[in-house]
Amino acid sequence: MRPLLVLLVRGQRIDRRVLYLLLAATVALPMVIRLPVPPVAITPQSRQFFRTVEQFADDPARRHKLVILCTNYGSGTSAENQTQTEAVLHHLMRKRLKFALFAFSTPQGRELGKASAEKLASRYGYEYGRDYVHFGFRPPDSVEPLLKAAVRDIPGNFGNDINGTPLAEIPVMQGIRTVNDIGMIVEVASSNTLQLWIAFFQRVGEEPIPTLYCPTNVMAPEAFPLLASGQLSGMLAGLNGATEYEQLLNEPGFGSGVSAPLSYSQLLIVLLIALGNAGMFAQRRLARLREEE
Amino acid sequence: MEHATGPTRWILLTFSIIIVWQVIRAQRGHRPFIRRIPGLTAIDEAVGRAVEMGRPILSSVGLGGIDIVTLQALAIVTNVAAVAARFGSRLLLPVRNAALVPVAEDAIRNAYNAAGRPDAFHEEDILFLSGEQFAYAAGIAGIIQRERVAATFLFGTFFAESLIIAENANQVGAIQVAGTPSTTQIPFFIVSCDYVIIGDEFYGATAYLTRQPTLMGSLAGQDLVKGLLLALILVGAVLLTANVPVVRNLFSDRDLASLAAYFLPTPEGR
Amino acid sequence: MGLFVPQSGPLLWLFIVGALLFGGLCLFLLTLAPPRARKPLIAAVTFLAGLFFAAEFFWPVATSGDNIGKNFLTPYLKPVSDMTTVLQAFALGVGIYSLLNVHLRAIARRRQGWGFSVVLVGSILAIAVPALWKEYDRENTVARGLYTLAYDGGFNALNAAMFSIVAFYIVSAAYRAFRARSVEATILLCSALVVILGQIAVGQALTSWLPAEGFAANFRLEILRNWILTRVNAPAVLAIELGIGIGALATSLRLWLSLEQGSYFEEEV
Repeated sequence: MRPLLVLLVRGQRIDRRVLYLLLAATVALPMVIRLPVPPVAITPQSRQFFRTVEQFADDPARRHKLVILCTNYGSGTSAENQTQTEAVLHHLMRKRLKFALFAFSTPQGRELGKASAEKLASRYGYEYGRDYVHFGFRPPDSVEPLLKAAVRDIPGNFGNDINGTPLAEIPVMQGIRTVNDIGMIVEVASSNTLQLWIAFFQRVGEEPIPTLYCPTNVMAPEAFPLLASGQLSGMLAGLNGATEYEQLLNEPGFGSGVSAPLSYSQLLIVLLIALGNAGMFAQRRLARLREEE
Repeated sequence: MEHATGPTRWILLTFSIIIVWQVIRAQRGHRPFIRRIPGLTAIDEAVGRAVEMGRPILSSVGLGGIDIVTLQALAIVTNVAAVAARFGSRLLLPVRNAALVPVAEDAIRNAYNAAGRPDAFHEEDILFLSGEQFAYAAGIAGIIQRERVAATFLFGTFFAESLIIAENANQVGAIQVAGTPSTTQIPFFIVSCDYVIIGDEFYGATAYLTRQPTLMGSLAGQDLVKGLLLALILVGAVLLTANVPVVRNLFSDRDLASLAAYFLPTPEGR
Repeated sequence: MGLFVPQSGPLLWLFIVGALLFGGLCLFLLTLAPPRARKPLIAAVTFLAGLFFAAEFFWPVATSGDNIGKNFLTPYLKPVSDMTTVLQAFALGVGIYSLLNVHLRAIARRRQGWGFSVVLVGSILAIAVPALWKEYDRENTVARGLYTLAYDGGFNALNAAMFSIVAFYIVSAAYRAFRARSVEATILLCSALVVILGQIAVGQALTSWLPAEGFAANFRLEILRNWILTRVNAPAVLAIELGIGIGALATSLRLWLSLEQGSYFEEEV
């Protein structure tokens, strides 16, 4: 009994470098050796996201409207956000919906969004200008007045596309003039950029615009109240959400590929927490044993 | 909402008047009660420890630009600087927003002057690191490890870099006090810092530290407004359950056609 | 509004010279102002700047005609916001001066760790030079190649690497902090375990034998996780944000009306 308790007490103070090594191994190994992992359960928020896009695409009165896909993230969170963007793009392109990319958090978002769209465009026969457009990047401070002004004149206020071509001359923008011509907003974000859409754009037209959110997993808890209030019509929470969406689309991508490392690394955290607590209780027990002696 | 709608206009105006009224009342001598906030009483302890160890203190006002959160964070850090100046300790303040450098320099210099230690203030201790989130985090982590800081004070808007900063400081054994309105980062601070101030304690911090009438009055005003909003929520929930949506309509995105319309259910989703 | 549209040709130069002269004149007048006037001047500028945005938001708007949804200030909203963006851009110069001031001095005086300062200054040049070169010589493939190498190969990779470090810190922090030391800590620990297990496939498999429908389904880990996040966590987040929002309103009012000075160690107003 006593040696086991002593061993457990030692388990309370594992050097942090050992912890880091364990995590690195747990993430790397399932990528090399194929470890079995069951499919992930789909959350109601992801299902609602999927349903919103399906309903929009199936509605002949709305499907000609433009979808705004905001890629407000940098390379740091691209594992989560880029996977979400690609999953959403699969759905939009599969349903042949027209969309505009836009970024205002970091210029990296402009490039990452563009790269994702170009990667998938050939597969779905999408052509830049005809089927989608890129509004480019705007500094964060200038976006609030831009969105307020764009409510009544989108091409006039956004001005040119990423290549410097006036939006009014781009085929996919024909018929897109005001907030009422926007069908959906999809915000992929690594920081708090969603509020601008909700405060200044979502509900100023004739109808509220369905708004979908793809935050990093850490940010997701902040958004649950917005789902309850109906200000959000769906959410993909981090890489988990992207993986669930890949499953819904039956389109395995990066998310499905890293499901095993994601699962096992979080399991490692659970095991380490358990070990730390077992050590704490063992220490108490050991102290009691010593007192009794 | 591009512009204020009728009800929102009046609600915001009422709230503002209540806050300003409380400020004026406090300036005229009324002192509201303020409870103890453990994280803020720890400031003296943390600064004292830094003096004993002969190591500097590190502060951060987060990733925000010149906005309300950052200015409030700077006000708290300025109070920390005043304590540091009194104890004769060195305070490092790496910033992420370049525009903040002159503002922070001015505020911290004033704090050192007020403490009668203008000689202890060094301009290069208020340092612009990088406008990029992770370059800033890497820079701070480097400073923490090289200087082996004795204490950290992290206030302001934080994102994923919160844990990078706090864990590095934890590794060098620094005593840490943090406070942020970024709700997603509070858990990270809780697991790696000694003291965390949560939610609107962040906005009450300067009042608590300085006990200045203006700030105390503002805090009292905030609490009154909060009480009023809670009452509205409660009344709204009861009325909505009884199918009278008047309180919800008061916060509607648009002016309704007539007074009677505020008592009728609004279209779906509004 | 003619002042706030993009200009070109000689008019552009006229505007640039005019702006410089106006700026210089303002600075000159500021130097003439007595020190005692400094505070009221700052208070007045702060109040006027805030007043513009507040008035634009609260002033009633036209409900019909060409200017529907606008008031008399709305057309100036974008130009005024652009001004703040320009001011911020100028501030970058102050930042770079502050950064170089510290590090060039460290290099010149061979202070401890001056090698890091060399790396920092070198990195600034490594990204700034190709970026500027590429901007002014757009056809040059060498410039573009160097920029791609520095930005995609260096900066982006380092950025992602720094973020991934968070995962390691989460492990060490969770291992250290999640201990059942008290009742509160135990509740926190248990809810954390349910949330972690409920969001990973391996964890969900632990309760996948429970039926997907009916009462027993409530005890599946993914359902419990969702319940914690939407029914326990979400209201708490909302309550915290309510307090934060009111706090922000109060702080804004104090700053706008210049009641705030006291907290920056100037005399109480």
